[in-house]
Amino acid sequence: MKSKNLILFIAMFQIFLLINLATSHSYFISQTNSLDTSSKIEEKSMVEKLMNSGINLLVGFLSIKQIGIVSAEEFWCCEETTEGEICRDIPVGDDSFCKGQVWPTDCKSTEFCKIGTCIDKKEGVCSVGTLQGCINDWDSRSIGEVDECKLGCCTLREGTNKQFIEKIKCDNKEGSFDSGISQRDCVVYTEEMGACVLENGDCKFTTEQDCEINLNGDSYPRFLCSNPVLETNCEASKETTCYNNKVYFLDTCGNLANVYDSEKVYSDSANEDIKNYWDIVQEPGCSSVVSSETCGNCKDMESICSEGNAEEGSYICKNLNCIDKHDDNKERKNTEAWCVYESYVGDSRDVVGSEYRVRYCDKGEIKTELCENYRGQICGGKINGKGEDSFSVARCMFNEGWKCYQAEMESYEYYEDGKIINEDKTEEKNNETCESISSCRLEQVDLYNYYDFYDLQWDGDNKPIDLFKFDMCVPKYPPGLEFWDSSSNAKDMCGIMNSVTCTTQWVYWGAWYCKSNCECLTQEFADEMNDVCISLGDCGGYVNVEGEYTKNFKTFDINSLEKYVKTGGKDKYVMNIEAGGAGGATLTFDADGDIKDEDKYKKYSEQIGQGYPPKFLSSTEQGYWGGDPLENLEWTEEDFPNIASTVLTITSAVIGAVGGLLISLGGIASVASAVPIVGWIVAAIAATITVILAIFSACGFGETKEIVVEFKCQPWQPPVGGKDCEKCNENPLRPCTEYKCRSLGSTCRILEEVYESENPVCINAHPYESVPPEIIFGEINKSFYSANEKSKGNGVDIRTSKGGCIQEFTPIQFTLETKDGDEEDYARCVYNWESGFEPPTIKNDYALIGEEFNEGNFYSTTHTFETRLPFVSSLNEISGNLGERQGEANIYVRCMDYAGNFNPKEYVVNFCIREGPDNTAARILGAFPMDRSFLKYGVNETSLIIYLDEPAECSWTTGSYDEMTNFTDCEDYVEGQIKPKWRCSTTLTDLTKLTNNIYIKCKDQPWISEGDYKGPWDETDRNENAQGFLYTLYATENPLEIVSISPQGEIIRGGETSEGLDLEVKTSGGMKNGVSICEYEFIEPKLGWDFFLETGSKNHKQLFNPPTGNYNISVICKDEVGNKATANSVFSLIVDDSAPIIVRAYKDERNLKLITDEDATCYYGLEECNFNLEDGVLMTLNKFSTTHIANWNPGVIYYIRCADIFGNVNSGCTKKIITSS
Amino acid sequence: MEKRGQVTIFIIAGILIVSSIALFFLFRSGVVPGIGGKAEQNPNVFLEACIEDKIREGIELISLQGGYTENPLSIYFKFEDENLPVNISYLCYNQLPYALCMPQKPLLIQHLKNELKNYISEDIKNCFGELTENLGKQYVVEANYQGFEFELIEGKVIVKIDGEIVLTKTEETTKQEDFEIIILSRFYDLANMVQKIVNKEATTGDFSHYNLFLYSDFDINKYKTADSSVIYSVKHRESNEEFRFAVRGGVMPPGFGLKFT
Repeated sequence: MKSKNLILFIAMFQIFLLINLATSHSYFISQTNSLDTSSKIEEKSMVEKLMNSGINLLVGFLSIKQIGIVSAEEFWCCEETTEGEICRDIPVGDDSFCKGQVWPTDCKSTEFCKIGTCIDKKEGVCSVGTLQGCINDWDSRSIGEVDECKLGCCTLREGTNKQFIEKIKCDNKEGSFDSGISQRDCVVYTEEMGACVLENGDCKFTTEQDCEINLNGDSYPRFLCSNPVLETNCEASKETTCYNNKVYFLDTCGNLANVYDSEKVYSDSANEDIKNYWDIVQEPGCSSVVSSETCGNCKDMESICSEGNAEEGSYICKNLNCIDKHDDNKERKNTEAWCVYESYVGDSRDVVGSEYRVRYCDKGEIKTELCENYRGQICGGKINGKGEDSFSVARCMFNEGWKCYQAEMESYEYYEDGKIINEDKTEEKNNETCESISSCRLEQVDLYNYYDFYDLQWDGDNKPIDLFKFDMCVPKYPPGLEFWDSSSNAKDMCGIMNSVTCTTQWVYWGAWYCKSNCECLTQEFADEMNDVCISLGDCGGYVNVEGEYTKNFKTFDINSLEKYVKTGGKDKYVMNIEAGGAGGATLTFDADGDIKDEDKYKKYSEQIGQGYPPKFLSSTEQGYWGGDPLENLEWTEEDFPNIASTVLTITSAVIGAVGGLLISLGGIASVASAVPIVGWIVAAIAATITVILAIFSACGFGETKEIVVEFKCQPWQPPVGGKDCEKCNENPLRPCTEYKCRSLGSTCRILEEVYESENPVCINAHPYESVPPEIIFGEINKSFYSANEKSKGNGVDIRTSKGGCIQEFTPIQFTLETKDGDEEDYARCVYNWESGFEPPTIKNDYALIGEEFNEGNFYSTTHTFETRLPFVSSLNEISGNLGERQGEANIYVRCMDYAGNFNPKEYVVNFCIREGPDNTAARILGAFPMDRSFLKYGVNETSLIIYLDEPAECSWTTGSYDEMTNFTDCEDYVEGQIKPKWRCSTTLTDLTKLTNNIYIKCKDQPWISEGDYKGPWDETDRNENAQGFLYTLYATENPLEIVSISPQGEIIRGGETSEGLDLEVKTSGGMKNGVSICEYEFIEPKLGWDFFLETGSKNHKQLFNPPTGNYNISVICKDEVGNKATANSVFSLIVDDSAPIIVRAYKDERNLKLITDEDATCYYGLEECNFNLEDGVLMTLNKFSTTHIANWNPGVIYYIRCADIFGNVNSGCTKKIITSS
Repeated sequence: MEKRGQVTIFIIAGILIVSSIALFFLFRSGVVPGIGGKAEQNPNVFLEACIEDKIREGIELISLQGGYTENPLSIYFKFEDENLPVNISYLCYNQLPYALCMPQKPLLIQHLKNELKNYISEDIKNCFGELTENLGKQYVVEANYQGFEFELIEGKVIVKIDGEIVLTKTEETTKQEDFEIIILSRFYDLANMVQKIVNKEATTGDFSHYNLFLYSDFDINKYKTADSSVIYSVKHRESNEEFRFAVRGGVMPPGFGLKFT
């Protein structure tokens, strides 16, 4: 019976369990699902350490410079484009893609597109933005000036959490904000916490405040919850966690203990050290480490707390340092940065295609960044410390090489009588200016160095006349160019030095002898000039990153000397000249149109990183951020010096050498007359001399000639073909760029995709191309001309629209096109007036010999021919009577495509040219200064250059046409030199009116008036414009002045590092009533000149953030015509970054009276030090004072906190005062 | 024989008892117990399950495209480890050389909320509808959906649905309103970091690598394109969530952009 009952009981019990387990299990599961796991995240956020890298970005001066908006163009402002872009500056009148409002001014001048600060109070976020983008809550000040946006330490939840955030965010979180605490110090240290013992033996490790206010527990500061004295449920454990970027032990309750140290793992041993380690907060037991499984004291910056295989627990200190596998496994510390170069750097020798990169160790990973395409930015680096403590720093910086061109321009104040002279600068000062700019250097050409044995020519003051020599201020790190694109500025940049000419003087004395500037006919000339050329950018004969050289300049070719000297049978010339005096050294003309040694440049592609790497500049140093290159610049060709100032004009030296002979011969006659010699003997001698001279003259002896040697600097072009294209893809640490890819070969292209890519691929875009370009005729002005393609192809005849011959010296323009089948074919083309020139082959390095079309040495599909037809008299075969003669001339065209294919048979363009009178007067194409310009204040004369479409003699007047003054210098026609424009220059004087109207008249064909003219026309055939050209110059009424400049005197400021100090200047007068560009320079230390952040109007502003000290800042303002004003800002800055101190506290009748060392506002609290000022009781009557009063309450502890005018306040109490009872 | 019979009886009895209890609970209608039970009976859970993936999808899409689902002011860029290029929006842009970029969405957090809201609104509405439909199988349901809002905070995306569901069954009525879904995400943290980068770009023209060291929670990479745009990739090191965007400003053009007349 009993066993039956038992069985029954068991069965019922099992059934009971069966039923209830199912439901109860489900209940547990559902409850688990709804547990809030957010607490886990929050815990982790508590362990975030907001590290201050230790790099104080505000060391020393903080000169906040920004890159200005392009100021050379005018803009309108589009509120919003069709693409959704807000506040876009658009070219004036071009509002086609603007869907919002358009304003007739640039965006920064408008209210709604001016940059300020958006304050999103709801989200607690500050951002840089425009009113247009912010809509509401917009502050016009910059983000650094807005109080709510300032960063500081936000203490939350009774000190259990601290975050380095903006004040506005802290306010949103209802935290306590302190801007005086740095990011590094904005952490809750375990030393500030302690055990908070709760009921039932629970314990939480937290701050005293949190314990008392929120948890209602008993607080034991610095005690750990695992301290047995506290009798809590918490004990030591082996678990760890990350906190403040260190590994910490946890106790069994999940509370923080001390820093993990595997030797301090708790055991029951009697080791006191270990026991203590679990009782109270202590310093880490082990030294800081970079990587460890046994110690959690992670070294700042080099190590981070991270999950890993620790000896105990789950966290380790993970090494943040890097190993550079590409540099012999060199160890790099976390945050270390260094520059990566691709060629020799500095000295203006950066090779084509090279760029700067910065590489850095970022938390264990090495990253590489391109500074900027085309060397728009460079990389400066340096090493701090030595040995194991050495630390490399580097950063990208804007390439300020554009300042060199400006320095070059400013060196030459104005132009007079064919020479550029400096109003107040000497050559030494010019050089100083250049070399004071850190991005610039002087490139010198001084052929005298080669030929110091050469006989010097002397002027009337017994001074040697300069040989060919000049300096040019050039960038140390020349910019990269889009050398393949004819619409880019490559031609302009390289053309900076194309006004350099060297005029050699020749005299005929049985043969042509070179008498001066002959050194320009040597290879040294080409070498020196090419060195200047390559220093301007990707120009000239130079190499790419693979060391492949191409020649990209044109200079004198000794083979064409004959063409110049050959006149009327006088085709002999002397190749060598000997120096006078002892020594007998010889100067040989050996120019072959090329430099001596191309290979000398190869080393620059091999010496990677050698040379003069850019200096590291911190963000606080001048030069870190560049200014706007286009500020204050109106670039015209004339702005660049005509280096012909160093060129000898035709001097009497040469003529004198010949004339001297005549004079000396004549002298015999005069001497003879003084000496009583028999008269008939004297007469006979004189007659003989006269006859000899006449014979000499008839033979052409004494005839002079000039040969102008030009060096034409051209944009660099890559080697023909694409054998090196793939090399661009070889280094993953240096991803290929379009700039480098293009530099490797003429057929190298970035693989064409519709998207940008992290790793662009460079390919040979025409690997198998073998078809030469086909040349066809393009366009010509059909109103005047006709072009009939030759019946067998390969040429065209150009005639007038009626099929007749074209008048000589007529300007003519037409285009040719190159095609590959039906498609356009890019090619470089040249032409010659004779046929049979060597075609471009691999043997001659694909040299294209001949004159270039307007497109220069660019590859193009259209080739523009623009010139004046030659005179009939210069043609080989002429027919007809004088005045009606005609002849034919051909140009022979050769083109080469990217792959090096060229047309084997030259394309021939035939002209039929006839003699005829010129019926049109010369036209003025342009003037410098421009028409309607202003004169500098107080100046009543100026140089003037005008450009004409044909050679002419010009004169000017401000009054009557009867009183015209000739221009001092007008370019003559030189046979064989057909130019697009001819220059005349002079000095205008007596410009005393407010509006000076100058009338210019020009008479063409000046050669008709020359003695040796043998053509059919005479003076009456010369054309002069009946109406003078009107040219106007305005006077500047008032001088440019700086009417106010600040700061001055003594300034006291608060210690907030984010608040700047404005250097403000106001100008008036000058050309545009004060509108000018201002620059400043600190006198001590001398950092060089820099532009104001805001300038270009009457008000100029520059923001600084200097530390305490005395300052003297020079300011110079200039307007467009060179009016200048200068002033100095002299001030002393005292930075008050310390909180007020109570220097005296006493009872005054019934009051507690305090005296502070500076004006302050004081409050008191009665409970604790860390009260919010707003919650305290105000003790100061007026807002700021040195005297503070409170009611005297005996036996009370007054916790005093004071804040000065600048907001400096102690983090705790200024003072704690206990009143006596 | 007797033993076998007893066992059999016990088994049958046990089955009967269990079946009765089960039937009792099955057919007994009444107040939703509120303790475990079906998802429909815990609307938050249902909504979260319904909408979470879509929200995450939206966050990812918006984050990887520069803060927009669609934006013409963007750059088409291909990352090395991805097969296809993507459109990355410009958050700060200026097409002119030298000029600093112009922030396009200064109120970025608000903008992101709006983008996410637009992306997800239909789905939330549908989920709410599904919820009421499911509940309708067991209850008489009165539902009123009035919209929703996003709240972005550190570590979380919170969806607050403004709606009301009244359930009635055998004269017992319960009302549930203002539903809240919490999704763990670093979206806000990333957006904050992105805002800092944009601020720096707009004021100084660059967010140099020296700034990276101040933000150890993030892994930031930069890629420069041929037109000098910069693509930023900001990853939260803990959650691996990523935000990508583009910037163009402070560009130094080839040859310094100098041109001569």
